[in-house]
Parts: sequence; structure tokens; C-alpha cells
Amino acid sequence: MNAMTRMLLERLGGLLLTLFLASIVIYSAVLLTGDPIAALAGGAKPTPELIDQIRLEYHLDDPVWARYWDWLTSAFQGDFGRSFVYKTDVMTLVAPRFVITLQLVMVTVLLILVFGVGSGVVAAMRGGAVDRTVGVLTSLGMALPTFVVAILLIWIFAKTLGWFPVYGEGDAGWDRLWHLVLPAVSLAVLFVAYISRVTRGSLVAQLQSEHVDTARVRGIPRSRIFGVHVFRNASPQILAITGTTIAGLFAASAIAEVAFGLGGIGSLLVQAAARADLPVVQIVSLLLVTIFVVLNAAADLWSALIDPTSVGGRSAA
Amino acid sequence: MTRPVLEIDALDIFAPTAGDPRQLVFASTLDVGRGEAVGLVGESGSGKTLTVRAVAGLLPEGFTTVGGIRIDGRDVGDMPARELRDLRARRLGMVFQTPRAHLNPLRTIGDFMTEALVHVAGTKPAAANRRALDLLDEVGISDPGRRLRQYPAELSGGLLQRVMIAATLAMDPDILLADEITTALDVTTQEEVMAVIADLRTHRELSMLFITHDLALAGAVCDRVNVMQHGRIVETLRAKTMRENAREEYTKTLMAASLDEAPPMRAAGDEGEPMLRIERLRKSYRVRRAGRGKETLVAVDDVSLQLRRGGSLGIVGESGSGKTTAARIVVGLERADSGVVAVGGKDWSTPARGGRERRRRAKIAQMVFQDPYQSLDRRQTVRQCLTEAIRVHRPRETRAELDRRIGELMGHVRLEEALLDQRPRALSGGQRQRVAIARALAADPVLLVLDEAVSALDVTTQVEILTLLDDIRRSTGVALLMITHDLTVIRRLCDHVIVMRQGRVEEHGTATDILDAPQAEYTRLLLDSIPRAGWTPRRRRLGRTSSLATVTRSTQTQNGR
Repeated sequence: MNAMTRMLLERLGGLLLTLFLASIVIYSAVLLTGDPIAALAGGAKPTPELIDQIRLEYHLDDPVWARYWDWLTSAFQGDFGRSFVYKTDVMTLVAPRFVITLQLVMVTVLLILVFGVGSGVVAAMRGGAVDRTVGVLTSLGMALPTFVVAILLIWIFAKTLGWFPVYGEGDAGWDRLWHLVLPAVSLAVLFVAYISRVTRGSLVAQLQSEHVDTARVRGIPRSRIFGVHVFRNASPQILAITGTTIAGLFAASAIAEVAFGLGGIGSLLVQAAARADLPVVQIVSLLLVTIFVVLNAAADLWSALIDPTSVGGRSAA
Repeated sequence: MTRPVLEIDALDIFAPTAGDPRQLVFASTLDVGRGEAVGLVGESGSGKTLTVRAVAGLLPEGFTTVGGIRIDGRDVGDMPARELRDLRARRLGMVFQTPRAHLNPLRTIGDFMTEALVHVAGTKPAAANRRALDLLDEVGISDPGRRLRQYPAELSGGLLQRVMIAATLAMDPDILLADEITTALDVTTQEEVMAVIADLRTHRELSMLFITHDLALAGAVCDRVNVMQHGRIVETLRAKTMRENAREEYTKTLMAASLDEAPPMRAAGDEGEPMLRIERLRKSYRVRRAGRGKETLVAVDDVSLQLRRGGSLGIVGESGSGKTTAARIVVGLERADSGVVAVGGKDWSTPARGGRERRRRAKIAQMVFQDPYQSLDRRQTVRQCLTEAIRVHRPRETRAELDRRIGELMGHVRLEEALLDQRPRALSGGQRQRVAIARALAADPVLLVLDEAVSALDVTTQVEILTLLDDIRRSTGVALLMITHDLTVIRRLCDHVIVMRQGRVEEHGTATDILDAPQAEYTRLLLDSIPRAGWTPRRRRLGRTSSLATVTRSTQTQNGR
């Protein structure tokens, strides 16, 4: 267990370091993308006096590193700055929207796990015509961009059939879930296809491996061979890719959010970037990096739990 | 005699193809009596493994069979799938060639040992555990309690093969199906494993179907031997009298290929300067210890040797003896810690720096690797492969001159020019190794380093390649440095021998001295472990029980930079 604790600590250190470096990159990249004066002045052509006032108020004349340091120290105290556009604390702006995106992602992940992993398992185990059919469907799924799926879904299920709402996130509870179905489906299609292929590939590799032959000749029941020798051995690989896919969903959700008028962090990021609302862009970007790193670490942790030889980064091939 | 444990009756096996199924095994017929050991001997592609896989129910998908297989008198053809699975699980025990690949790497030895007991026989886990301990003890594994908690990666190949055997015994099978179970093992480990099986068979009335390409080994451990060629069983012989009774030409070829008859090569005097001189060579690696932390593994320790122009020197040893590391240092794939490597009077102690120096050395020394399936580029035709090798040293060669040289190389390795436009996939193992040798000869080297260059080949192909190498040495004057674990290879090819063990030189001398009058105990042990007429495997205590710290590619790159 000692190696495990060390791995956890290393991971945590890595997470902090990644966040620190990411914050520098994000902070400086955002500064390079444009002059925030226009955004801060609120659209009207600003007078020179107003510009000076804004520069003073937002410390725009300080050197970059000093501003970064200010931002970092106040971030540690929970103050991530104020939105240039809405003039409110960014946390109050981001938090409720994050909840909506989180819900959208959770529904999408559920779809991915059930249909992506599920169809991959069926394709690998059944083979033959079933496998080929799943193969064709996943090719199709990977070729369809999210916004095309969104338009199709809106047209069929919302406009023509009227089963689902077209727009907005609805109220908390069942109504929310109802509103999230179509966006989640449109978001999921591509990833269901992708995860299905990954799952099938790693399962087939295990099925053809020689230790599975051994289990077969020893008369181990099929269900146990699948669970203990095939799926379990393939799971680290499947999970590693699913983990990064889920992390990617938080960013990819922007398309579905915009298409279905959901007020999540994806659409917030798009708006904020368009209006040069730097504090908002910064915090949302950092949030995405954090999610990515945490999910990656979780997938690694799983493979370490399953495969003791992988701790220390080297596995017996 | 009672009814046979296993009967195979006129078995045909077909592989699926786009058109008609292709027949691979033709009317294979054999039986194994109770307590009897029967050998099935043939080269790769002869259909012996397919036959045994048909018995075990492990034919690849789409393969079909005609004919009868009876286990304990029950025909497997007309049994319900569930019952058949149960019959196989309880009556058959199968052991495979590569134990490391055949054990789930993510499950402990204990899980593996008890799995069939718990999930097929319905034994309680605690009882299954006790049985596992007993069985490991029975096959001679020390400290079985600890072994049960270890993972396959922590055990050596010989130990894993014993674990495999112990696990199949858990269900008290009637017959052991052993498919090339010692091919991947060192010759001394092979003897250990075979001795364990011999013990078990006398105590348990266990039958065995023993599949191997080594006729001498089969003759030593079996009662009867079936010889298989091109999908047909061509001859069945009693093991004791097989040398006298063999009728088939193929059987006689296999016997001759066992090589132990050929006299060792005479050293042709020591005239001339040594072209390769190694003095006090040492190389160590930092490796992970079995428990925690790191330790230093000395792979090559104070090794000195000489090879004269046009001579042939063999380095013999088991895996972990440091023989391959020594060869890799000579060709500059590794950097020695200390010591001298001199080739043709020039210092080669450090790997070549820069492309020009590397090409200059490559013109002098070339290497041929063990596995011709992996050492050739799958997308290159033979012609492209050889052209590339020639162009490295003569970039401005004209097309006509190039073709002449390619023709010459193909002549050296006795390959027909019709094969020039084939890719490796279309070639047999022997043909591929010939291409690899031709590629090495393209530079016109004076030293050819052969790292287990025939170990992956069938015995008859081995003889062909060894004869070829010897002819090439005589006609071109290239010196050979042969790295091998197989003393019989030395007999055919080398005039001088160095025996290595755990990084050190145990003994060196002329092939005649070492093979006919060995001085070191270890050399005698290696010679005694070679199966031959009248040989019985014995358990010796020299075998190791713990896994060696192995040098992996990753430790090599870490240390090499």
C-alpha cells in the first residue's frame, strides 16, 4: 500500500503544479488576446478621462507579473475577481452555470456508459453481423458533428413530434432533466461512437489473449471469464480514455449549450471570450483544466488498483 | 489394457478461407493409454498444435473438424456444450508453451491456482487454498505461501511453468496436454520441469500427450512417439527403439538434426592476429529489487575474449548470463562500464559518436538477431531491404552494379532470385533469416555477430542455416561471434567456446575441449541437460527459485544515456 500512498501524493503534487502552470499560461494568454478597455467601458466610445480612470481602477498599468501576483493571492482567498461585463463577483456568476453544465455532462456520461460501453461489449462478445452493424453505426456517429445532431433532434423531437422542449434549462428537478435530454443526446452521439470503438478494441485484444485460452480450457464459466479476465483487464484502458473524454465534455458542451439555449459554463465561456470578459474566461479555463487533471488522475488510480505492476509507471508488458 | 484415456480417430481440421475451407490436418489418428506418455513431434506448421487444440476445444474461430475425439471413451462430437466443458475441465489438464502469456498478469498466483477449484468444482475457498499450497509443494516450489500472493511478473519462466502444471493438477486430470512446454525455457530449466512431470506421472497414473519439435526430448520422456509432417502423422514408433525402427526419411532427418552425433569442429590453428579483442569487460545496471528499492545487477563481469580473423567463437549461457549484453557492447548498442573492446586494432570501447563513425564500424561488424519475424520491415520487399543495406555504404552505386551485388548476396544465402520481390509475410522462417543474413553481409563485414540467430527456427531449418553460416565463413572469411544458449549449435558452428554464467566466464577453450572434456561443473551440467538417447531428466538443486532481476528495455535506455 506504501507505493500507492506515494503515487497519490505524487499525483496531488502534479495536480497543484499543473494548475499553477496553467494559471500562468491562461493569465498571460488572455491578456494577449485583446485590450479589455472596450469591454470595461461598456460599449460606448470612451473618453480619455474614462480610460485613465479604468486603467487606474483595474491596475492595468502595473507590470504583468504584479497583476498576476495580485490575482493569485486574492484567488487563494476565494476572490477570483469581478466580471468586466456583469460587474459581479465571478464566482456567483459561474457557480449556478457550472451546476447546469455538470448536470448536462452527467446525463451525457450516463448515455456514453450505457450505449458506448454497452455496444462495445456486445460487438466484442457477439462478433459477426452484430459487430459489423455496430461498426457501421459508430462510423456514422463519429462522422456526425454535434451541431448537426442538435439541429436534427430539434427538428424531429421538438418541432415535429413536440416531445421535448426546444430551449432553456427549465426548473430544477424533473423539468431540468426533461430539458437536458436532447442536448445530452446531441452531445453524446460522437462520444458514444468513440467509446464504443475503444471498448470493443480493448475487449477483443483481451479475448484473443492467451490467458483467456487458459481460463477456457480450465472450464471457467463464461460469465466469470468475461468479468474477471476480459473486462477487468481491459478496464484500465477503457477508463483512461473515458476519463479524458468526460473531461473534454465540459468544454465540448458549449456547442450543445448554445444550440439549446442552456445557461451553462460552456455558453458562458463563449460569450465571455467574445466580450473580452477576462476574469470569467480565466476562471472557466482554470476550472476546465482542474477537471481534466482530476479525472485523469482518477483513471490512473483505478489502473493502479487493478494492476499492481503499473505503480511506479512501469508495467510488465 | 483398459480403454485409452484419449483417442483421436481420423481427425481432419479445416481453416476457413474466402473460398473453400483449407485442410490443415489430414486423418490424424492416435491414442493415449492410461498412465502412458505419447509424443507428437513435428515442425511448426505440421499441425501438431492444431490437433491438441482440437482436443482442448481451443481451435480458432471458424475452424471445423471431421472425425472423432474421445476422452475417457466419450465422443466429444455428440455432447452438449455444458457437459463437454465440464468433461474437459475435469479430465484434461493443458499446459502451454509460454506460461507468462497464459497467466492473467493482473491476478495473483493464488487466484490462478484456486480459480478452477472454486468456480468449477465448487470447493470452499479455504480448502482450495490449502490444496493450492500442497500442489505448489508437490511440484517443488519453495515458500508456497508467499508465492500465492505474488503476481506472475514476479516469477521466473521455469517457476511459472511449474505453477501452470500444479494448477492443472488441482482438478486431478487423467491426461496432461503439454504443448511445447519447455521450448521457451533454458536447457537446465527444461530438465527440472521434465523431472517434475516424470515424478508426478509415477505418483498419479497421469497420462500425457507431449507436443514438441524436439524428437530427442520426446524420445526421452515418452513411451511412444508420433511424427507429424504437413498435417499427417507419418510414423508412430516406440520411444525405446525409435532410432533403429525409424523408416520415414523425415523422422531420420529430425533425428540427425538433434545434432549430438556430429563431432565438434576442429580449431584450425591459431594463426593470425585476433581481429576482435575484449579485455576485462564490465557492465552493470540499476534494477528494481523484488521487494523495495534498487540494486546493482552486474550483467557482464570481468569478461575477456579473442576472436581471430575468419574464426568462429561461441558464447554459451542461460538467460541472464550476460552473453547478449556482451554482444551488444561489441556492436555499440550498449556502453560498457569499463574494459577494452578492440576491433582490427581500433578502440571500440565506447559506442560510435556521429553517423560517419557508426557507418565505418557498421562496415566492419554486423549483427543478426534472433527473431527474423520481427527484425525485417514488413513493408519492404527483399530487394528493397537489400538495396537499402547496400546503399548505406555505397550511396552512389549504379543500378546495374546494385543488381549484381544483390544477386551475389542472394547466392551467398542460397535464396532464389524469384523471391526478391516478396515481402517477409510470404517467406518461411528460414527464408526470412537468410534475408537477414544477406542484409548483414551487404556491408561486406569482417565480423558477424549472431544473437541466438537460429533459436526461433525449426530444428531442420536450424541445421540448414548453421551449415550456410559455416559455408559463408569459409568462402568470405567473415568471423562469426555466435551467442546461444544451445550447446548443440556450438557443435555445428564454432571452433572456440566461452561458457558464461551470471556475467562471468566459467570456462573457455576450443570446441573439442569444452564439448568432449569439460572442466567446469557448470559446463557439464549444461551438457548433461541436453536430451539424447537414454537420457532421463533429473532434479538438480542448481535451479533457481526466485525471479532474476531482468534487464528490460527501459532500464537499458535509462542506463545507456
